[in-house]
Amino acid sequence: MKNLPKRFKHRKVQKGSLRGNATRGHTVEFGEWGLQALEPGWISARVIEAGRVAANRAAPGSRITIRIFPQKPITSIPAETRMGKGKGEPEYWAAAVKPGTVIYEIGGTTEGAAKLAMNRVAHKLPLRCRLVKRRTR
Amino acid sequence: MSTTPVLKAEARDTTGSAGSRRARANGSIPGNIYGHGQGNMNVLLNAHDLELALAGPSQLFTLQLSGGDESVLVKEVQYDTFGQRVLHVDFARIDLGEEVHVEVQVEYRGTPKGVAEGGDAITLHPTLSVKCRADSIPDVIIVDVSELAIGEQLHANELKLPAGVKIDPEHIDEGEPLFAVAAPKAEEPAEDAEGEDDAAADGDAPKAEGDKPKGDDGEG
Repeated sequence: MKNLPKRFKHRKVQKGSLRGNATRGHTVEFGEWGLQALEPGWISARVIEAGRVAANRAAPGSRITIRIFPQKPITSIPAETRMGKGKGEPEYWAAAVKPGTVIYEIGGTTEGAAKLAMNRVAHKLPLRCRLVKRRTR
Repeated sequence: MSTTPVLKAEARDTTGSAGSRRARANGSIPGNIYGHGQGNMNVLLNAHDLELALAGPSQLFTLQLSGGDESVLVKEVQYDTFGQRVLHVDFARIDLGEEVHVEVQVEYRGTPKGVAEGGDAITLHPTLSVKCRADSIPDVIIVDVSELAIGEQLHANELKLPAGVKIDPEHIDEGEPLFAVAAPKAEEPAEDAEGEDDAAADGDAPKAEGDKPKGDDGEG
């Protein structure tokens, strides 16, 4: 499953800011448990996919929902390059995640399997996370 | 039905974000009471007492105000980004004898037969919209799903609800499936491996032709 933008307005964008907490996407909406970010950071498309695969292998048959999308092109310049000559070339896509964002959701499985799967996923992510349960009130 | 929590509330003069922030810093939670043709009333509640009461199963509260006690129903609770601190709470005035619409948690008990055969249990509705008298709101509706086989579903009209409690047809159809046991998905290890290979091969880098405002993939 490719998780990349189909089209985009600009090949290169500025770094942007991850200041503050998430004001949207911070509640569990689709599954029964979710993995919530506790730190800001960029999560690359490759890591998002690795997390999905890890969750599917840890809890086969469960319903995994990915709540973030890698919309941000990240550029880099080659090693041993002199200063200047403009911005580097796009290398990969990433999702900008603010603290509080629910990154993955899982449902249709037992609590133990969900915790195991989300723990496996959390170890692949470049930021601290925690498991949250869907709130009924 | 559990006992109704009793909370002390005092009228609140300050409104707006600054006043609410000061109130939260002093250990209070701002809230509103409305309904029954009377005006809106801004109140302050003790944060600790309110959070303890909200952690319980009851949806019906009694508020002790200077003008007397009022029975209220929790309509909305606002939490902070991390879902840990209560920021604001809305209450609706009710008469204990009137019929109200509430969302009640459904607890699915037992391991379905179909799960033992390899099926997947899917909870479609963790809560159920019901209508009942305000003084007889159930804390939880317990359903036994141990007899469900693969491909079977539990529908809303198959539930045995407590006396005086009925499904609210405005919010949920009577034939709506609440819980299902689905056939196991075919395992696709090849798909997983392929996905990883794709990501590695593509390097996920934005391609130059995507520069155009509209791509030509024909899917959008």
